Amino acid sequence: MGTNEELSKLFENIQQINELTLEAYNSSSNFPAVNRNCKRILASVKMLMINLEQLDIS
Amino acid sequence: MKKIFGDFEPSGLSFLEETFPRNIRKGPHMDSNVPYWNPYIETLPLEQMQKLQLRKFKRILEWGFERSKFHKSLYDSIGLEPGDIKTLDDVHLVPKVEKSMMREIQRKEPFPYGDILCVPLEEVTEFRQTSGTTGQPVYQPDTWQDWEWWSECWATLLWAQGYRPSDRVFIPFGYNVFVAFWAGHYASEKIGCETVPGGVLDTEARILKMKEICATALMATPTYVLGMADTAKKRLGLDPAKDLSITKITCAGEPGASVPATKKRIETAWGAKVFDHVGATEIGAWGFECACQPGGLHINEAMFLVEVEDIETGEIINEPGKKGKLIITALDRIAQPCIRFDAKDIVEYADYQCDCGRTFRILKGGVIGRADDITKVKGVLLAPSAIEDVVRSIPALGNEYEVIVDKKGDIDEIFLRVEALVTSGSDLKDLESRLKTELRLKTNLGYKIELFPEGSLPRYEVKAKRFKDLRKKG
Repeated sequence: MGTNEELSKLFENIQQINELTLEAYNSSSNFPAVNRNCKRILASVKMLMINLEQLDIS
Repeated sequence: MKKIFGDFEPSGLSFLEETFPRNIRKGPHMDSNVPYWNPYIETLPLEQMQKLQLRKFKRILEWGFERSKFHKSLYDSIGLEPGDIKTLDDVHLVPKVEKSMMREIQRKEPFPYGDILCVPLEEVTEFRQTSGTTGQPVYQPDTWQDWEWWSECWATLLWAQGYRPSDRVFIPFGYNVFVAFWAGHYASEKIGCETVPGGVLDTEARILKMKEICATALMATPTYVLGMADTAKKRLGLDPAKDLSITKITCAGEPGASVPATKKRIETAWGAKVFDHVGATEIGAWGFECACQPGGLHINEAMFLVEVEDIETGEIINEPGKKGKLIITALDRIAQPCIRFDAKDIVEYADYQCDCGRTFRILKGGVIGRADDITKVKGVLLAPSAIEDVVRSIPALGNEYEVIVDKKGDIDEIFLRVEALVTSGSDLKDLESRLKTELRLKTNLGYKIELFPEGSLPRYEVKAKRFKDLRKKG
């Protein structure tokens, strides 16, 4: 892991996880087992995004 | 039954094997030789780091301004809007927050945090509080995201100190409403270490458990680490350096691990490397010593913006070698943001870089002291004013007293010398008992009381010097 292409792909994957989890979260208000686990995943995904945030700073 | 999940078959063995290899000795899918938890952030050149900090600072400032009446009214009071901050040089325009301000607004709606809270109450998943030895405790709400952030800060420091998934980490500490070592526990798990809570066991049981399971690392206060070594030798006939497997120790709660003589004493007793770390309930785990032990603490500058303020002039110090007061912002903490918090810690920048390759700046000698003379005893913050409050509330005690903190062996002791206005034996005994109880309630610490006849303690003509910390001599 280290080339710009690899990092860009990593960033893209994390954004996809975020979008998919958000979708599952938003559609699970009557399904606590999914809703609460999605909420925790979103907290972890946010940490992933914070960890990579500097990559878009030139 | 109609198949609704396509090829998703959670009953198959491969479902479980995706993230767990068959060979139990193969270990996790990760290169443990990578020296940094975050190789990009921890080696970021200064210019890029400052861009990142500015962006994050503006974001958290706007977050507080938009979501908290406390922050909005604070900024409104001087006519400041988040958009006014355009460079890092503008940051000092933002008003500082002191602990006393947080005390004033808490215990109100939304209960118990008051209008400093920036998320709906239902989003709060963690409650912690400060120790309250400097006054009423400050409550600290955190969301799941904040708790991920807390453990991420700790994971950064543990990885820097050499913690890896192969470690078995023992935490000999009674977890409770205080934040101490909770985040260390979760960070150890996050890294992949086998994490052993040593909570309610007594000291001997903790030592025996570490020996029994071959623990490789531990986290505790420096005083307690030294005390454990003493107990191992005197009560169990064990030499921690030879009979246990501890290779690294992370200390917190007291400055001891940044004090060279104490560090050496612990390292000799345990045959292990000792690392310091610094953090606070309202702030987070903001500084750490790396495996190179550079004679100070790295600031985690990706997660925190540190400013050092001249105590006399209030000007921001950027150059090394000049002591000042720490003003700190947690850049990613959201439930109860920490924006330009006056930590009252005294620090100074080092004039050298660390050999570890991190670009995070170093604070020479760690946290050097406290701006308001508050000191830590047995890992607890002790404010002389809290003792005065107790002494002066008991009518049978005179006005004069002195407090002496000393070390007996490796254990801190506090002596309170005070004049009694009663003279009979039973009255003195009752007085001593009451004083001990009230002091423990107020400060969470035990004292050795010495009662003197009225008029026998020193009098002061100008500024009284009632508090003496003999641990600091030499």
